[in-house]
Amino acid sequence: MTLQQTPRPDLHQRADEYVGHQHPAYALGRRPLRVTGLTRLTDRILHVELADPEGRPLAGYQPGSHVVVDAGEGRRNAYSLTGDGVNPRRYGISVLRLDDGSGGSAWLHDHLTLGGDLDVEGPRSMFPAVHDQQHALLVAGGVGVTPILSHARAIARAGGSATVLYSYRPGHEAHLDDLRALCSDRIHLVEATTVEETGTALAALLASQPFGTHAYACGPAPMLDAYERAAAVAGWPVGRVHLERFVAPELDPGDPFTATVASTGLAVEVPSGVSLLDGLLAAGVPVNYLCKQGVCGECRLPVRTATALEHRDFVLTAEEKAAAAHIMACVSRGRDVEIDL
Amino acid sequence: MSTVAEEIPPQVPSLPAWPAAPEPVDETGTSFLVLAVGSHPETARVAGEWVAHAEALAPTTLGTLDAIDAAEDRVTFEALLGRARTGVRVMVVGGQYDVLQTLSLLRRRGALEAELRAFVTDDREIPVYCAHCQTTFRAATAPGGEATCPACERRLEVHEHLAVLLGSFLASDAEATTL
Repeated sequence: MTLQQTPRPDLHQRADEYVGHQHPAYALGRRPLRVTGLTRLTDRILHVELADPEGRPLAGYQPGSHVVVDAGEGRRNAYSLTGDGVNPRRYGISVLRLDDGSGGSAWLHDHLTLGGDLDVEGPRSMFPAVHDQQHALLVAGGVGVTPILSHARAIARAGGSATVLYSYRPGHEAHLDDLRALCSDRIHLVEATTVEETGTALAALLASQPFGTHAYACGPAPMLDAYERAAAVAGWPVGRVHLERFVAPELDPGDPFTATVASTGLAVEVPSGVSLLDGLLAAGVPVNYLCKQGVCGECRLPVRTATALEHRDFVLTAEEKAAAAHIMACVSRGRDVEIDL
Repeated sequence: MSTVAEEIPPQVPSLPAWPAAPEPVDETGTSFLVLAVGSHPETARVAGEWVAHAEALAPTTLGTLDAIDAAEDRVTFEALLGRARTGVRVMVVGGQYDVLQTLSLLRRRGALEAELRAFVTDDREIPVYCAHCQTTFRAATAPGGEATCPACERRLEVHEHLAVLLGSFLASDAEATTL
């Protein structure tokens, strides 16, 4: 007797916009959502609530997910969702106004109105919880509290346990009341209001977490660097130390190199100071991108061969970087890189 | 008695690869838990060497267990793990059955590979998982060999397939293709 398996018909990936007969909560593509709430949390942080204009359910999401919103004049910004992600009727994002940024956050602060529409794509999961975590150490700095609040809420809902460290400047403590409201015998909150307090609390907390804990941090780069150093000192394997950056450090311009598109043989010269992404776009090679800082993962490209790769992103893991099979075109460079496009 | 002719696709073995000698202590750990399971003389020797090395680096706890299945020993194991803090490195030494089952318990509690070290003193016994009644039992056999399930009494063929999280080898009815 020979057992033959019928080959599964090819399952074509459905267009993001197309939901067809599926439940409306499958919609993840760019679509207008209605602004149903605007709350000023601090003088510079605006909390925005979004709902489906028809009142339909929204797509659920993993804690730590983000959405990409239109931020005026062609800009698109990513913001973490603050809810627990289970069967949401509303999406909540908190927008910090950055007057020295590209202008997207200021535009959102100035132009959003109750009852108006905002184009939203996602949610996307780039900072999820590890499924078998026994406990979570959640570390938030400033407006980095948003994905941390999402994780804390998801853990509270699931009956898990967490220790939360929130580092903030007095007067700028967005969502502190939300975190305090979550406190219970299983969810503990530690507050720090200076760099020194934060450092001391980080060291103490990393030394005292139960076996099987995973740590998650989001905040400004110096705090994340301190967090990674403290975790290494406390003996945490890197597989337990997770973080999400919203601003990447400045990068040097790098050396010029050649990138080849495998399918067409097109050779693109990438000069010093120009990213691989910009080089490819200028040569007419379409590449999706978003943050242009090596943070969001949108411009990940497959690499066929390369003499050398210089990974400068915060998306790929150490193993993925060593495997040299992908490159983040917006920040990373290399030598004689053949892109598998 | 006849046998159903069946084309069986080539099997890809998944077998544990044990180090030939005990691996050195991971010096990045900030505490150590050495678990010595069973009475093999080699177990005590390896555990002793690990403890001596680890103690010089950071706080170290030695747990000696007769067998990982024994109720008393399981209580001890849980207590030791309950006191462990993240940053610990856990090193397990013993016979193959006890090491695989101990690693299984650790992995189910979220242990990462980077946190585990294991050394097998003898491979006389293995954990066998009966695919039919879902019992895991201790058997003096090897992958490719046979064993009788103590729960459903089927004669089982032990496959060259280790389920790492279960810490046991998959086994199925050795006479299933016999009519």
